Amino acid sequence: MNRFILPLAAFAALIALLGVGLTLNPREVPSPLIGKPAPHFELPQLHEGAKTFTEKDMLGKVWVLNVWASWCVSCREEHPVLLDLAASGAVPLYGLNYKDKREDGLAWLKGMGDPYRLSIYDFDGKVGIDYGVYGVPETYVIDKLGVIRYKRIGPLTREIVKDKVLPLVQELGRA
Amino acid sequence: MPWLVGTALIHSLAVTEKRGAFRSWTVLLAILAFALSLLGTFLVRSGVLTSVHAFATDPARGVFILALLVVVIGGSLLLYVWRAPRIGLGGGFEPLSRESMLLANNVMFAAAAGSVLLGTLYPLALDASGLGKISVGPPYFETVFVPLMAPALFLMGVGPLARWKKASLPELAARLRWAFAASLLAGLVLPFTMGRWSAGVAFGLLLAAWIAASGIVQLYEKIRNAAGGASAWTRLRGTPRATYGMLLAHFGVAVFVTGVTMVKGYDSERDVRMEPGDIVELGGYTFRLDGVRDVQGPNYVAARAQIQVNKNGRAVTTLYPEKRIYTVQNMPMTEAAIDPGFTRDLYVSLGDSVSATAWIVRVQHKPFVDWIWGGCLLMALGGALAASDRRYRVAATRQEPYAAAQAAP
Repeated sequence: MNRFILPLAAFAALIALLGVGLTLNPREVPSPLIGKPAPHFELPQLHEGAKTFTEKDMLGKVWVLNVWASWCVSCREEHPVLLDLAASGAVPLYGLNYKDKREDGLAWLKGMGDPYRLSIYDFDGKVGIDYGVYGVPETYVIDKLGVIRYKRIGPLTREIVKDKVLPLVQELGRA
Repeated sequence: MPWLVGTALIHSLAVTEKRGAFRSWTVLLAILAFALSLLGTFLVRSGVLTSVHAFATDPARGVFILALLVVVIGGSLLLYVWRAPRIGLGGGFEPLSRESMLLANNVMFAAAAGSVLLGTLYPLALDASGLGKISVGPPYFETVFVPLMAPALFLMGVGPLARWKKASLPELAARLRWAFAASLLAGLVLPFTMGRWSAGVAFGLLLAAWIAASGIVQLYEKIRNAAGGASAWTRLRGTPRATYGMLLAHFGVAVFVTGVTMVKGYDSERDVRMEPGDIVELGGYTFRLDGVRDVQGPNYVAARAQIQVNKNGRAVTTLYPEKRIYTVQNMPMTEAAIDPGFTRDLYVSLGDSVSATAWIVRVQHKPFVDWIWGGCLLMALGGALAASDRRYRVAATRQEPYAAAQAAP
């Protein structure tokens, strides 16, 4: 074939690449923490400020940490899903109240319902930084050894809970 | 990217007009220049890349522009596949000739555009093949672009002086020896005027001086060489506007290269915590924070600082950087204060307020940065001058080069 077809061939490859690119999201950055131990924290609880909670309290159990805030609009979207997940009792659910005022957080839970066994209070967001939180809501599944096994960036949906979270929790529970 | 390919196109057209050669190149460069413009339109609107230039992330819009790309550019390239084999080669030339130098120019500009395209699309290609997410930034572009462009900048001095079809190296060397000596001298000596010598700055200034000096040689030869005893003024008037356009545009490149070299070599920046009355020194200038007060704008509230800039004890200017909050969406914006100058820009901006009276202030001294813009302006003026050349307005039949090319196998 003559060499003049090269530009057209290269162009076809470019269009294929751009077409695929339209289906991707360049802003989504996957977490480098998957497979790594959950970063250590010791934070006051939201409801009972005098008590603290650390990730070490959960060693030996599979649990889910959900990052939420009263100012976060997408959190309202996922809240019914969280309430159902908590009601099913499949896995303990803990909340991380991120960069929020205590009164606002408490009021939000009172109005929307509280799916969490307890929530911890991260006022300045330092624990969020350790966990790589860059867009609220985010959800982590942590196994019995305290290793992060899954991170969901964005609101939880019923499909994700059914297809990703619950099977993973079951598998980790058997380990 | 369109600019690089478009510049290659202008130079390729020169060969096509004069000698009937490079016709496939010229057609392909024309198609590619427009294709890259369309690609740029696609990239900033579709959300396919994360970039400061992207202003809409709308995949639906992206699909439309992608379809436009396929129709327009796919169609053009299809036509190219079909018809290019019949275009033919045009006049032959020796390995050392103006044509070969312009061919090298085509290749280098195309390679530079290709390297920029690679750097732009690489993160997308990695993401699409599931190999991870990376970002490609200035370190890549600077590393790749400069070595590709430096030979082109050197050829800028030699090309216009080389004969068509066959050039002689000893003759070129003889005509250019003073220009080369002057450039070498400029590269060695000029960095000392800024206080510090560095090889990178010396090389950049050598190239800029080379382009300017060889331009002067071209102009001088136009005045000096003429058939018959015509006066210098007649010879200057007889020179086509396109030649002046070329000289001006090439001089613009020299100015541009000087600006880039000086800014990269000698710019400085400091972030300091300042209380009213504090002074910071940078680039020979002193910046004194006189105070910060609250101002009310039409749709914003701002903290406005007053910075007094002095040099050697004499007042240079007063700058008013602001930290604004646009009240409707509670959006903070930083308004930098810039003092532009022929030999330097001074830049002051406010960071955060760290106490009731203290602020973080960023101060920058950028020597010769406006020469970057000035160089581009000169390039544009040169282009306009060349485009207004008489030969594009005279409806002359331009068939002699093509007829000659058809005759030659």
